[in-house]
Amino acid sequence: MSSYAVHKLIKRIQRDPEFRSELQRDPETTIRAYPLSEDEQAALLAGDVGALHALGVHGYLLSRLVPFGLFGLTAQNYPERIRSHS
Amino acid sequence: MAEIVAAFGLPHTPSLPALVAREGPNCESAQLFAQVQRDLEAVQPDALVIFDSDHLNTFFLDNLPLLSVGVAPSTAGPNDGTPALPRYEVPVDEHLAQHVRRYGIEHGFDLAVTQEFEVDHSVLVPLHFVTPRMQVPIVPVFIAGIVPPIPQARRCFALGQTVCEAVAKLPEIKRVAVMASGSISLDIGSPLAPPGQIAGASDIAWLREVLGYLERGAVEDLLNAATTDRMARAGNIGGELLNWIALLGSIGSRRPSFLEAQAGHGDAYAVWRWDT
Repeated sequence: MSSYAVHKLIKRIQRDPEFRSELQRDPETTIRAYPLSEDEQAALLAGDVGALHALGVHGYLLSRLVPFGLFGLTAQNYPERIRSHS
Repeated sequence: MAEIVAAFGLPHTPSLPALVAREGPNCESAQLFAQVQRDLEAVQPDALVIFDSDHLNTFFLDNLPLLSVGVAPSTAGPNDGTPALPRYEVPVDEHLAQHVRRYGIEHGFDLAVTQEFEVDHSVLVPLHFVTPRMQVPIVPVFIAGIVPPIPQARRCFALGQTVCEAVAKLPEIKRVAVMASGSISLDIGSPLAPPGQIAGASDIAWLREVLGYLERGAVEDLLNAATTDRMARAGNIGGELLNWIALLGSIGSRRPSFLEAQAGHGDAYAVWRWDT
């Protein structure tokens, strides 16, 4: 379990509605507050949950992003995307 | 002296409160919880030890105890926004919780503690259905079964045995029930989830195998089968089986008096009563 910064960011997304609004408005600037690797940053902005899972992010936390519609994730595209790197 | 009087295994699927609110008391989930509620009320427990896997809501990766006990006058929640669950205040049997922790530490379990905490759906969904008045004080025993590396099955079984001994050593007269919360095969959000779904039972064969062990009271067979790899193949939430295994440790090789599989959900409803 590496990827602590991604886990921490998802935790904040779950708890902080204002942070979610900022992410909707300007995801690129907003996620800069977190020390993500380049791969993590690119995958997150692309909603590439398969890549994030392959990088060590817990699937349970990744799935928590779906109800907020962030990073282009939907209940429809998540199942396919999570398998994209497995 | 105190004694364990019954045990219960229950799912905690977060969608169940909304589903039952929508479909009413005659739907299958409502009926199954009602059955368990009747058994729980019949044994009149003074306290309920809950083996539970927090979903990174009570604890997080900044500080994640593998095994811990909640020792406080009360707790509350849900702290994860479970749909259709009211906010509950739940009494904790602080004295018993402290006793279990102290006895566990004296007998080889380095149990962490939290003295101020809230709980998520994994505690409150079952309680919402089986003790809706929150009249039975709980003792939450947290087993970090969701974030790998997870504890070993035999370690959790031994923890259950130690909880049973601790209860027996309590000087007060007290009737203690035990609950295991969680699924047996479940994946949420990883590639093991069923195709086209975010979450679901990923390994129904494993669920059936485990339920066979439970039905027969074949504890040793279950402990041999429940390797960390095997549980991982049952989904990233498959480690919740450790809660059921700890429950078995606390009651021995008794066979359930009621066991209803929910194969499609990867879980089951179970009751162990030996008073009838």
